Amino acid sequence: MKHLIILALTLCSLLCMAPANAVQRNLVAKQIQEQKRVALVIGNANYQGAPALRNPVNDARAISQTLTELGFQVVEVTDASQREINLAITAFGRKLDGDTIALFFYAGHGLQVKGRNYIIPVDARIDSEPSVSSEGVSVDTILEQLNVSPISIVILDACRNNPYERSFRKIGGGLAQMDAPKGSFIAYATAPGKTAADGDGKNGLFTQELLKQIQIPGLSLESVFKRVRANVAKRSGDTQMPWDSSSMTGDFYFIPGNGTTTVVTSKTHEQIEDEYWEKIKDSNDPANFERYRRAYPEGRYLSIANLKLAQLKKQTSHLPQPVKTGNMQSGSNTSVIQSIVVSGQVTSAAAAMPLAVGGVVSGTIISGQTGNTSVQAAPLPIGVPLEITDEVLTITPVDNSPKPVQTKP
Amino acid sequence: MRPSLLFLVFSLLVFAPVPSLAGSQSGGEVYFPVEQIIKFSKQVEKKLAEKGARVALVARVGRPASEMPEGMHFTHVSFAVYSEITTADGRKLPGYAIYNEYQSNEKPDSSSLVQDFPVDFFAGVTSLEAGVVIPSAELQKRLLETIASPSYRELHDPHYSAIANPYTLGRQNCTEHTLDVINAAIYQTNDIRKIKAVEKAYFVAQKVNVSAIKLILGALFSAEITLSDHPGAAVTATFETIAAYLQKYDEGSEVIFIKAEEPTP
Repeated sequence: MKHLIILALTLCSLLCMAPANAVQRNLVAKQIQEQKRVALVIGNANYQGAPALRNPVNDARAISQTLTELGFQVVEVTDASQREINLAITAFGRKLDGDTIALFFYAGHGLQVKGRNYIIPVDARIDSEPSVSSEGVSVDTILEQLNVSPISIVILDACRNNPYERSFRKIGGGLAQMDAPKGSFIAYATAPGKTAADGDGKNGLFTQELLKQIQIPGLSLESVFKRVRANVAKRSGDTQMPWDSSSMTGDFYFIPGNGTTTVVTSKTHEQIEDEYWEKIKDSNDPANFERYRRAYPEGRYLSIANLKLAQLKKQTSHLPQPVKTGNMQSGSNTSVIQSIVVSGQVTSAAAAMPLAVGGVVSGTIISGQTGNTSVQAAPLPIGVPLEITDEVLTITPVDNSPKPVQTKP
Repeated sequence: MRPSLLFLVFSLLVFAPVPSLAGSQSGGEVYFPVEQIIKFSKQVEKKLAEKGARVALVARVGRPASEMPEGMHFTHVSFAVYSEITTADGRKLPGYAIYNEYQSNEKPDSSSLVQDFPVDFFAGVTSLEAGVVIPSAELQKRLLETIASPSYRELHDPHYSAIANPYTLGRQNCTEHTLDVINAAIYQTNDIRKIKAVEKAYFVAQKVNVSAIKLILGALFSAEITLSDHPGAAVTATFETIAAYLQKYDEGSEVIFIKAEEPTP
């Protein structure tokens, strides 16, 4: 009888739990869906002026994939130049508003100069300390873009050794500690001024741990990084100690657990708007006011923002503004454009009008296309090193009987 | 590609030649030994590669400078796109493919889109020199997308005029098509009316410095010249004006001029 009761209770609990778990999963999914989450993920590994790093591109890809699964709209940029990073940051900023949770992840080289941190693009030519500010991208610029979000998370896995240190008067590794602006959380792969190893595996040590922890339901943002710190310190024998700086006023969960809400912010929308306006109101940069208009289309300072914008635009040149920044805006982009074979939309010169170039040279030849068949010259992806064949390519039909060449008198 | 005899005689005797004349055609006379053309073509390709250009504007000189109207030097502009080129025997070689709008040989008032290679492009030049604009990295990306998309073909108007007005519809020459593709890439649109509005607002066209009477006579005697798309003074797009437009609005773009290297003794 006792066994029967235990069996009945077990069955009952299983039957009751199953739908409860399903409900919980649905609730979590719904909570994540309801929240607007946007991330910019950058991984720089193949530096033109410094030794290549092993893991940042892998790290960026792994983080992008996981964040996408966690409901983030991710823009991924790998091996990016300074211009590409700046464009990506601008595009990222456009996606943010007072209801969006923003996350910025960077893996690659980072440097500090006079207490300011810079992430280093792959095309940076750094030959002195001052060149860091002109060749790098200031982390402050990124933080400015995040201002508008109620919760912004910045993760910098950029504390590797300084590959340009011979060009510096003072040798210093790692990043400087920054105070996280209100509502933000900044995490570093290691303590300020220290360096982190690139790692021997597929991902850096810090990213490996981060990937594990952000997928555990019910861990608050602070708990995630506390666990990352503990595990990284343990696995590195205390040589690498991740660090963070927070001024969060609410809680954030990558995956909410039982009974947790995803975001609790103690600031009202009006307070966030006021704080943001206070920061930009004296600015001379039209982008700040454009950002405000996007973030607060019915904002309380909209009429002043419009006025400021009109005045500032009058002062600047009349540049035609592209309507959008191309492929930087879509979800899963990298800085590499995929090779696209152009389909036969252009007619063949070979078919239409043979050239009168006589005595055509070397035996190789011919591409172009005939009729509506595929074009045989396919644009190569950006990122492929540029080489030029020494062979002569022409659409002129091969003719072994040289024709006279007219020479200008 | 056979320029009208009547027009050639006419233009030589009376008419100061207009911009794209003969310059936007493929084939025709060859003024330099093939070896020199090949050498120069490779020089241009290598310069583009050295500059890291995935796509660039390349211009050639199809008429002697003395015959060109004031303010015009280059006669034909195209896109050079860094590509993987498959040869007839199936090998894949790296180099630049040239995307042209060429005036038709048979019908001088029409054009077609033709993809060829630098040797073909420079085959008929009267001077071994090239004008090149290397757009910014961002614009190069967008141009690659646009050239590979149906927009590139959709923006082509086969009704050709050597002095097509870039501000209006109805006639198009190689420079106008190039400009339209550039603006399609910048503004991420293939709406030709929007593109024309942008060009009216920001692009400064070249006034065709040929007397009105000559223009009218040219329009009467040659199918490749028409004034129908010029509501006022005749203007057209040139390599020089497109280069100036990109220099002004495409931060990071670069204009270079390449001349054939002196032959080594």
